[in-house]
Amino acid sequence: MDKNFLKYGLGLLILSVFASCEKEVTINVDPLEPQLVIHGFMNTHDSSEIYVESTDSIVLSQYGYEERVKLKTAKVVVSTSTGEKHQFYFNQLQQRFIGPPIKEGETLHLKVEHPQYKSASATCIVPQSTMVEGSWFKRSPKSEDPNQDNIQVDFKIKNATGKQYFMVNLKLQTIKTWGSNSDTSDFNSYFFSSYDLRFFAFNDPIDISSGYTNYIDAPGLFEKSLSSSDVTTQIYSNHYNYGTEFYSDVLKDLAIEISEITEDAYRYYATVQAEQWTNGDPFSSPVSIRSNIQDGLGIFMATNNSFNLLRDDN
Amino acid sequence: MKYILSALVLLFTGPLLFGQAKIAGTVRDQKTGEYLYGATIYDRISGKGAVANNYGYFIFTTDSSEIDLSISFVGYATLRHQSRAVYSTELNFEMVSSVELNTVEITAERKEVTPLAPVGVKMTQKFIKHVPAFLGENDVLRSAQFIPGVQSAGDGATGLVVRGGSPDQNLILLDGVPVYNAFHVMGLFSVFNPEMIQNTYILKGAFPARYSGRLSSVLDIQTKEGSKEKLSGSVGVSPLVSHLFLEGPADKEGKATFTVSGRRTFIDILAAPFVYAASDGDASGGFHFHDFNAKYNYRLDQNNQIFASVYAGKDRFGFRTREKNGYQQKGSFGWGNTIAMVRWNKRYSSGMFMNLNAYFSDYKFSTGFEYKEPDFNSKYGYHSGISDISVKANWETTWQKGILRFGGQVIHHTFNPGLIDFSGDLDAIDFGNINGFKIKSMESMGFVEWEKAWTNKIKSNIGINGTLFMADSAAYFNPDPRVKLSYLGETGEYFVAFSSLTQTLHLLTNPAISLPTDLWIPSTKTLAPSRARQISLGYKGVVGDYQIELGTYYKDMRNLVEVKEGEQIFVLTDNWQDKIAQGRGFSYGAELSVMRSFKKLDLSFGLTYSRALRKVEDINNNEVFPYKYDRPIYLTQTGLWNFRENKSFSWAFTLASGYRFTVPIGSYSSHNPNQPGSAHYGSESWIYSDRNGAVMPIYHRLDLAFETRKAKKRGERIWKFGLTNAYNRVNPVFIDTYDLDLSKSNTTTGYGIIPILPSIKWTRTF
Repeated sequence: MDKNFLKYGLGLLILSVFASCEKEVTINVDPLEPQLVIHGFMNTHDSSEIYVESTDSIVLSQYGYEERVKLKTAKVVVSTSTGEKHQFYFNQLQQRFIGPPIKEGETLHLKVEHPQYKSASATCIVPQSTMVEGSWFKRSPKSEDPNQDNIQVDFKIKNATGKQYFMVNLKLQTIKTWGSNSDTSDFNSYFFSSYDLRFFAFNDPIDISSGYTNYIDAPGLFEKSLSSSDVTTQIYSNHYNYGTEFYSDVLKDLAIEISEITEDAYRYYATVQAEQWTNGDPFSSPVSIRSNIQDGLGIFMATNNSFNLLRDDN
Repeated sequence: MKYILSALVLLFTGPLLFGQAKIAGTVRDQKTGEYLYGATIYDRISGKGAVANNYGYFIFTTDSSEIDLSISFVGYATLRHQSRAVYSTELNFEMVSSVELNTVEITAERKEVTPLAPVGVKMTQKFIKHVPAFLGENDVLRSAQFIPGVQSAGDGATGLVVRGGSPDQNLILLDGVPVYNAFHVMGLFSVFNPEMIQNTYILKGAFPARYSGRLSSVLDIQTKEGSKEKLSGSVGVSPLVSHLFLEGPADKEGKATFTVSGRRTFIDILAAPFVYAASDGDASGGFHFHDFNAKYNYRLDQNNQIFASVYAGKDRFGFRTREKNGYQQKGSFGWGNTIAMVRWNKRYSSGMFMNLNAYFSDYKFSTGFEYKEPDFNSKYGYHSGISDISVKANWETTWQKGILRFGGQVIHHTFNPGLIDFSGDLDAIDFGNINGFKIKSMESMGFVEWEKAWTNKIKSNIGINGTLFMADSAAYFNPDPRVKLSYLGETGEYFVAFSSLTQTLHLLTNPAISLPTDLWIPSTKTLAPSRARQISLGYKGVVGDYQIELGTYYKDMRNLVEVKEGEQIFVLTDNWQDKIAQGRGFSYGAELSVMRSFKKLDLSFGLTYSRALRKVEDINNNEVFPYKYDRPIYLTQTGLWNFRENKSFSWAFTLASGYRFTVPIGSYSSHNPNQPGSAHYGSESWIYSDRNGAVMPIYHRLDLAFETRKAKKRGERIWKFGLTNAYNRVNPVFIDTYDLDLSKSNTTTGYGIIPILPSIKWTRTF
């Protein structure tokens, strides 16, 4: 039998049978009422900032694609438990509302008003400073590359109580040398991983080749579900010591920047991550992103970073 | 220790001590010698009686000095037996099939109204065979979907949904052995060859204590034992699947019988030239499935009988490229069950009956891929599955003028939630800790059940089932009481029942779609057994010429397993328990079944109204949401019209609410989780409706079949023509929401998988 006849015959048969398996479907669900989208980050050591958009604040850019615009005319007020009221003002350059740093331990109430949308509000507590002590050391190189530092960090969160959530930033300081000159760098954020902390997965949840190590971008968030008052854990990182005849970049010191965050904030980021991994994937269930904004979407959170230089055990 | 021994002695001898005027025996088919499960034996004088159990055995007591027994069974001529003897443990009745009597079998034939009925709904062979076959192949699980309360999990999806439960909550038994994946071809066919099936009962509420292990239903399928009369069988050929079935005596004395059957699809062979042509001769491959059943039955004497049976079935997709210059690729995936069982039935002189059963049941899924280059070779394999070894025993006797059943079972489960093998040059690559692991568990069950007729009108079945489950250094003991009270009215039986049920095994299913890759896992320290409590009320009887069943129920389920939002289950890693949440489920509904038989026409009608809801932490903002199989209206109508002798036309129509799904209703710019708390780098995230908040279009489908038979010198020749989805309705099982923007348009594309499909099958019986 002619090969092409078979090929096209089969194609026609399949097309004629299965073309009929497709149809236009009308989706009948309640439409989404446009609402405010707020991302508020309150800081104890720096200015606080709040981004205000809406679900329908989309415009066509000059390049022909859709982009979100900030709602500059919103009225953004943060009041504290001590009765202070801070109105945040829109910074045109930074495209966000800016306000003062806040004090630890306070309860903050956010209210955002805009004439076109239902007012949104949220509450968060500014965490107390997190006390950490710990050390770091270099383990034997895992790879054959002698310039690859395999760093283990052991740190202890002191006076932790019950279930808590933290944001961690691993920061490395290096000494850069070129010729006879040398310079000590700032502490810069670095990628890290963990075996025993229950970080939410930044890696592809079905990527089996990653085993069960959680690779964390910096900074990372984690959940501490233990009830013990002191929690000891390990994180790992790799640092490459650039070593040439003329230039080297050698690890000098290491620090952890850490802040407690609310469960709402942790869940928000965990669900954003999961949603981005899975949207459009027919094998996954849809992920609803958590929010603590009443009558709106997004997150209102506060951080109180503590910078903790770790002991060098090398 | 002596107290335990005393209790055991009392437990086992109690029936003997307290047994009174017993009537016991068996009911068989006169021609084939097969036991007739579900036959009723009713004493018209005392109003007492019994239903023949799974092994054709019955026992009951009576107070009267004489008996006038009426022995009836659908499809058989009713027998009468009168006697003055009121103590007899060897009453062995042989019934004659109405087909043998050359009378038309009437499915809803009017019977004497008695308080006796087998548990559950019987699916007669006639019913199974008259529901139009999918591509010519009759199917017991397809036919079950026409019983009110039983729904399909969807075209192309594996499983049944019974009274709001999930597909893994159905205990599917083949000769008493659980079958873990009962489907071929991704849910289009069951693994049960209809030629092999003798009886099928489905229980969806009012569970007697003898059943345990699942929350929603029991589908009890018994295979034929084989005719003692002569060698007979059938051979059938269709483009999709062909079969061979043989049964007959296995010795000259008539003590041994056998049945053997096999099915195989020839799709792979038929498609091979097309695949070859489409790939320009560079590739070959295809799909096939097969299954094989065999059963051997040997009667040692009047009171002892031994059975042995095996089942093996497999589905396999595979492909390979032609080797060219040292390069080649091969791949396959497949799944299948292997089951072996031996059974010993014994009747004691006291009339007590014993069933002792040992079995092995194994389900495996595996996939493999091989890649070859001239200087590189790699193989990858993934396997998952579950295997059980079990011993169970149960007894049936009389006690306190009632029927007492008791027994126990021990099951050793071995779970392979995901084993990955690498070989060849891939060994040199460090993939980290990716190997799966085996989990072993031990499950012990025991039950006591007492069925008692208090008056001619009132009957009860009270029992308790206890399950002890040990795995992962965790132990769970769950007692499950069961009560059923029946009242015999003028036209039929009214009943109210309470059942508590425990399920220690869970099937991890990807949230959106069920696949053969779904993993069976045990309860563990952090994963408690699922529990359910069900209250059901019902009526079953004959009103005028109509056979009617009416039922209503409420079911409360706890510790149901759900995969967390955003997680997928293909391969289990060490932290697999973190991917799972447990929650609650609620379902309620009402069911109506009406059957009417005319001289040449049988009609059945089923209507279900039901709701199935779930509440799981961290899903749908902790709010109650409809289960994906929440389909409030489910209507079925089937018919069989024997418009001429040896010619029949049948149809099956389903009209049901659409499946539920979750749809994106908008989007917004979320904050990049890689930069929490710092500069705002937005990325678009979808806003979804409530979980399962959208409904697919209404499902309706009509299947048709025409059958013509011709008597031959020996046996018959049968042609069967079928039309699945006769008017080519597209019933979507998947809605494409990827580019859906409801602010611009509320229409998108839905995809179904079963178009109009004609079929033809030729069968020859002998």
